[in-house]
Amino acid sequence: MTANPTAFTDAEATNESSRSSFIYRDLNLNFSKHPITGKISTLSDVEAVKRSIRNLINLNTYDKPFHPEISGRVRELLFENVTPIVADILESQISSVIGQYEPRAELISVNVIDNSDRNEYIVKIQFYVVNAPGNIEELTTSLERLR
Amino acid sequence: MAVNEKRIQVTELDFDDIKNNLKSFLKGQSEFTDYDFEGSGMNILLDTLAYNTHYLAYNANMAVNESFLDTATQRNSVVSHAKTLGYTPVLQELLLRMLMLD
Repeated sequence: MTANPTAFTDAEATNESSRSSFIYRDLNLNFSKHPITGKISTLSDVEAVKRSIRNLINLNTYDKPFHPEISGRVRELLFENVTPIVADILESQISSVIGQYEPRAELISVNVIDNSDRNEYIVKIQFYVVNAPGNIEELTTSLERLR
Repeated sequence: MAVNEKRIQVTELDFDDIKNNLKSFLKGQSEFTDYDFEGSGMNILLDTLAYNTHYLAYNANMAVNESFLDTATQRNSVVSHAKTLGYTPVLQELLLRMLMLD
Protein backbone atom coordinates (compact mmCIF):
# COMPACT_ATOMS: atom_id res chain seq x y z
CA MET A 1 0.00 0.00 0.00
CA THR A 2 1.35 3.44 -0.85
CA ALA A 3 0.79 6.80 0.73
CA ASN A 4 0.82 10.14 -1.05
CA PRO A 5 0.80 13.02 1.40
CA THR A 6 1.57 15.49 -1.39
CA ALA A 7 -0.95 14.08 -3.82
CA PHE A 8 -3.60 16.70 -3.20
CA THR A 9 -1.32 19.69 -3.73
CA ASP A 10 0.34 18.05 -6.73
CA ALA A 11 -2.94 17.57 -8.48
CA GLU A 12 -4.44 20.91 -7.47
CA ALA A 13 -1.51 23.04 -8.71
CA THR A 14 -2.96 25.02 -11.57
CA ASN A 15 -0.73 25.74 -14.50
CA GLU A 16 -2.85 25.58 -17.59
CA SER A 17 -0.75 26.64 -20.51
CA SER A 18 -2.04 29.19 -22.97
CA ARG A 19 -0.05 27.42 -25.70
CA SER A 20 -1.90 24.14 -25.40
CA SER A 21 -3.66 23.10 -28.56
CA PHE A 22 -5.94 20.66 -26.72
CA ILE A 23 -7.07 20.86 -23.11
CA TYR A 24 -7.13 17.53 -21.28
CA ARG A 25 -10.07 17.32 -18.90
CA ASP A 26 -10.54 14.57 -16.35
CA LEU A 27 -12.75 13.61 -13.46
CA ASN A 28 -11.37 14.55 -10.04
CA LEU A 29 -11.38 11.34 -8.02
CA ASN A 30 -11.36 13.38 -4.79
CA PHE A 31 -14.98 14.12 -5.77
CA SER A 32 -14.76 17.62 -4.36
CA LYS A 33 -17.48 20.15 -5.12
CA HIS A 34 -16.98 23.12 -7.38
CA PRO A 35 -17.21 26.15 -5.03
CA ILE A 36 -19.59 28.11 -7.26
CA THR A 37 -21.66 25.66 -9.28
CA GLY A 38 -21.72 22.90 -6.65
CA LYS A 39 -21.07 20.34 -9.36
CA ILE A 40 -18.27 17.80 -9.17
CA SER A 41 -14.94 19.46 -9.94
CA THR A 42 -12.74 18.54 -12.89
CA LEU A 43 -9.01 18.40 -13.43
CA SER A 44 -7.56 19.90 -16.55
CA ASP A 45 -4.34 20.06 -18.52
CA VAL A 46 -1.19 19.56 -16.40
CA GLU A 47 -3.18 18.76 -13.26
CA ALA A 48 -4.89 15.90 -15.08
CA VAL A 49 -1.61 14.50 -16.40
CA LYS A 50 0.00 14.68 -12.95
CA ARG A 51 -2.94 12.90 -11.35
CA SER A 52 -2.84 10.26 -14.07
CA ILE A 53 0.86 9.61 -13.45
CA ARG A 54 0.22 9.31 -9.73
CA ASN A 55 -2.63 6.85 -10.38
CA LEU A 56 -0.41 4.75 -12.67
CA ILE A 57 2.37 4.54 -10.06
CA ASN A 58 -0.09 3.50 -7.36
CA LEU A 59 -1.83 0.85 -9.47
CA ASN A 60 -1.11 -2.67 -8.27
CA THR A 61 -1.13 -5.81 -10.38
CA TYR A 62 -4.76 -6.95 -10.96
CA ASP A 63 -6.17 -3.54 -9.95
CA LYS A 64 -7.24 -3.12 -13.59
CA PRO A 65 -9.79 -5.80 -14.47
CA PHE A 66 -8.44 -8.23 -17.12
CA HIS A 67 -5.27 -6.16 -17.52
CA PRO A 68 -2.75 -7.15 -14.83
CA GLU A 69 0.08 -5.80 -16.97
CA ILE A 70 -1.02 -2.21 -16.30
CA SER A 71 0.55 -1.49 -12.91
CA GLY A 72 3.39 0.39 -11.28
CA ARG A 73 4.53 -2.81 -9.49
CA VAL A 74 5.80 -0.81 -6.53
CA ARG A 75 3.85 -2.65 -3.88
CA GLU A 76 6.10 -5.71 -3.71
CA LEU A 77 9.21 -3.53 -3.63
CA LEU A 78 7.94 -1.57 -0.64
CA PHE A 79 8.10 -4.78 1.40
CA GLU A 80 11.85 -5.09 0.74
CA ASN A 81 14.48 -3.37 2.86
CA VAL A 82 14.88 0.30 2.00
CA THR A 83 18.12 0.35 0.01
CA PRO A 84 19.53 2.27 -2.97
CA ILE A 85 19.24 -0.92 -5.07
CA VAL A 86 15.48 -1.06 -4.54
CA ALA A 87 15.31 2.67 -5.26
CA ASP A 88 17.05 2.00 -8.57
CA ILE A 89 14.56 -0.77 -9.47
CA LEU A 90 11.70 1.57 -8.52
CA GLU A 91 13.10 4.21 -10.87
CA SER A 92 13.14 1.84 -13.80
CA GLN A 93 9.64 0.49 -13.07
CA ILE A 94 8.15 3.95 -12.71
CA SER A 95 9.86 5.08 -15.94
CA SER A 96 8.55 1.99 -17.69
CA VAL A 97 4.90 2.37 -16.63
CA ILE A 98 4.83 6.08 -17.50
CA GLY A 99 6.53 5.46 -20.84
CA GLN A 100 4.07 2.72 -21.73
CA TYR A 101 0.76 4.08 -20.51
CA GLU A 102 1.00 7.87 -20.33
CA PRO A 103 1.58 9.17 -23.85
CA ARG A 104 0.76 12.73 -22.78
CA ALA A 105 3.90 13.00 -20.64
CA GLU A 106 7.38 13.05 -22.14
CA LEU A 107 9.67 11.89 -19.33
CA ILE A 108 12.83 13.83 -18.58
CA SER A 109 13.92 12.09 -15.40
CA VAL A 110 12.73 9.90 -12.55
CA ASN A 111 14.68 10.21 -9.33
CA VAL A 112 13.94 7.95 -6.36
CA ILE A 113 15.65 8.80 -3.07
CA ASP A 114 15.59 6.21 -0.32
CA ASN A 115 14.92 7.48 3.18
CA SER A 116 15.70 4.48 5.36
CA ASP A 117 15.11 6.40 8.61
CA ARG A 118 11.44 6.78 7.75
CA ASN A 119 11.13 3.61 5.65
CA GLU A 120 10.02 5.58 2.62
CA TYR A 121 11.07 6.58 -0.86
CA ILE A 122 10.77 10.09 -2.24
CA VAL A 123 9.94 10.02 -5.94
CA LYS A 124 10.68 13.07 -8.07
CA ILE A 125 9.48 12.92 -11.66
CA GLN A 126 10.31 15.55 -14.23
CA PHE A 127 8.40 15.61 -17.48
CA TYR A 128 6.77 17.89 -19.96
CA VAL A 129 3.29 17.64 -21.35
CA VAL A 130 3.38 16.99 -25.09
CA ASN A 131 0.88 19.81 -25.63
CA ALA A 132 3.09 22.40 -23.97
CA PRO A 133 6.71 21.32 -24.39
CA GLY A 134 8.10 24.62 -23.06
CA ASN A 135 7.20 23.98 -19.43
CA ILE A 136 9.02 21.35 -17.41
CA GLU A 137 6.69 19.92 -14.79
CA GLU A 138 7.76 18.24 -11.58
CA LEU A 139 5.79 15.76 -9.55
CA THR A 140 7.03 14.79 -6.10
CA THR A 141 5.43 12.03 -4.13
CA SER A 142 6.43 9.63 -1.40
CA LEU A 143 5.98 5.88 -1.28
CA GLU A 144 5.84 4.01 1.99
CA ARG A 145 4.51 0.75 3.30
CA LEU A 146 1.41 1.16 5.42
CA ARG A 147 0.93 -2.43 6.57
CA MET B 1 -20.46 1.85 -41.32
CA ALA B 2 -20.93 5.23 -39.66
CA VAL B 3 -21.45 4.99 -35.91
CA ASN B 4 -23.87 7.38 -34.29
CA GLU B 5 -21.89 8.44 -31.22
CA LYS B 6 -24.97 9.78 -29.46
CA ARG B 7 -26.26 6.23 -29.14
CA ILE B 8 -24.39 3.65 -27.12
CA GLN B 9 -23.76 0.21 -28.62
CA VAL B 10 -24.98 -2.46 -26.23
CA THR B 11 -24.43 -5.62 -28.26
CA GLU B 12 -21.05 -6.63 -26.82
CA LEU B 13 -20.48 -8.89 -23.81
CA ASP B 14 -16.70 -8.86 -23.55
CA PHE B 15 -15.04 -6.48 -21.07
CA ASP B 16 -12.77 -4.74 -23.60
CA ASP B 17 -15.56 -4.37 -26.16
CA ILE B 18 -17.93 -2.89 -23.57
CA LYS B 19 -15.24 -0.42 -22.53
CA ASN B 20 -14.57 0.56 -26.15
CA ASN B 21 -18.30 1.14 -26.66
CA LEU B 22 -18.40 3.42 -23.63
CA LYS B 23 -15.38 5.31 -25.01
CA SER B 24 -17.10 5.72 -28.38
CA PHE B 25 -20.14 7.07 -26.57
CA LEU B 26 -17.99 9.55 -24.63
CA LYS B 27 -16.58 10.93 -27.88
CA GLY B 28 -19.94 12.64 -28.31
CA GLN B 29 -19.33 15.01 -25.37
CA SER B 30 -16.64 17.53 -24.49
CA GLU B 31 -16.89 17.72 -20.70
CA PHE B 32 -14.32 14.95 -20.13
CA THR B 33 -11.63 14.16 -22.69
CA ASP B 34 -9.17 11.93 -20.83
CA TYR B 35 -11.05 8.63 -20.98
CA ASP B 36 -8.49 7.17 -23.41
CA PHE B 37 -5.53 7.26 -21.01
CA GLU B 38 -5.08 4.30 -18.68
CA GLY B 39 -4.20 6.32 -15.56
CA SER B 40 -6.98 8.88 -15.78
CA GLY B 41 -9.88 9.05 -13.35
CA MET B 42 -12.39 8.65 -16.16
CA ASN B 43 -10.65 5.45 -17.28
CA ILE B 44 -10.91 4.01 -13.78
CA LEU B 45 -14.62 4.87 -13.77
CA LEU B 46 -15.00 3.21 -17.18
CA ASP B 47 -13.23 0.10 -15.83
CA THR B 48 -15.80 -0.12 -13.04
CA LEU B 49 -18.74 0.39 -15.40
CA ALA B 50 -17.43 -2.10 -17.99
CA TYR B 51 -16.64 -4.71 -15.33
CA ASN B 52 -20.10 -4.36 -13.82
CA THR B 53 -21.75 -4.68 -17.24
CA HIS B 54 -19.60 -7.70 -18.11
CA TYR B 55 -20.49 -9.32 -14.78
CA LEU B 56 -24.24 -8.81 -15.27
CA ALA B 57 -24.06 -9.99 -18.88
CA TYR B 58 -22.25 -13.20 -17.86
CA ASN B 59 -24.76 -13.78 -15.09
CA ALA B 60 -27.71 -13.24 -17.46
CA ASN B 61 -26.15 -15.55 -20.05
CA MET B 62 -25.71 -18.37 -17.53
CA ALA B 63 -29.19 -17.87 -16.07
CA VAL B 64 -30.80 -18.05 -19.54
CA ASN B 65 -28.76 -21.16 -20.38
CA GLU B 66 -30.12 -22.89 -17.30
CA SER B 67 -33.67 -21.90 -18.25
CA PHE B 68 -33.81 -24.33 -21.19
CA LEU B 69 -33.46 -28.10 -21.10
CA ASP B 70 -31.17 -28.19 -24.13
CA THR B 71 -28.58 -25.83 -22.66
CA ALA B 72 -28.86 -26.44 -18.91
CA THR B 73 -25.71 -27.82 -17.30
CA GLN B 74 -26.69 -28.00 -13.64
CA ARG B 75 -28.42 -31.21 -12.53
CA ASN B 76 -30.94 -29.25 -10.46
CA SER B 77 -32.01 -27.31 -13.55
CA VAL B 78 -32.39 -30.45 -15.69
CA VAL B 79 -34.42 -32.20 -12.96
CA SER B 80 -36.64 -29.15 -12.70
CA HIS B 81 -37.27 -29.10 -16.45
CA ALA B 82 -37.92 -32.86 -16.44
CA LYS B 83 -40.58 -32.42 -13.76
CA THR B 84 -42.52 -30.06 -16.02
CA LEU B 85 -42.57 -32.86 -18.64
CA GLY B 86 -44.06 -35.31 -16.14
CA TYR B 87 -40.86 -37.21 -15.45
CA THR B 88 -39.24 -37.31 -12.03
CA PRO B 89 -35.67 -38.57 -12.17
CA VAL B 90 -34.48 -40.63 -9.26
CA LEU B 91 -31.08 -40.62 -7.68
CA GLN B 92 -28.58 -43.29 -8.58
CA GLU B 93 -28.84 -46.24 -6.21
CA LEU B 94 -26.14 -48.60 -5.00
CA LEU B 95 -26.16 -52.13 -6.33
CA LEU B 96 -27.06 -54.72 -3.72
CA ARG B 97 -25.90 -58.29 -4.15
CA MET B 98 -26.14 -61.22 -1.86
CA LEU B 99 -23.10 -63.49 -1.75
CA MET B 100 -23.19 -66.96 -0.20
CA LEU B 101 -19.77 -68.11 0.90
CA ASP B 102 -19.23 -71.78 1.85
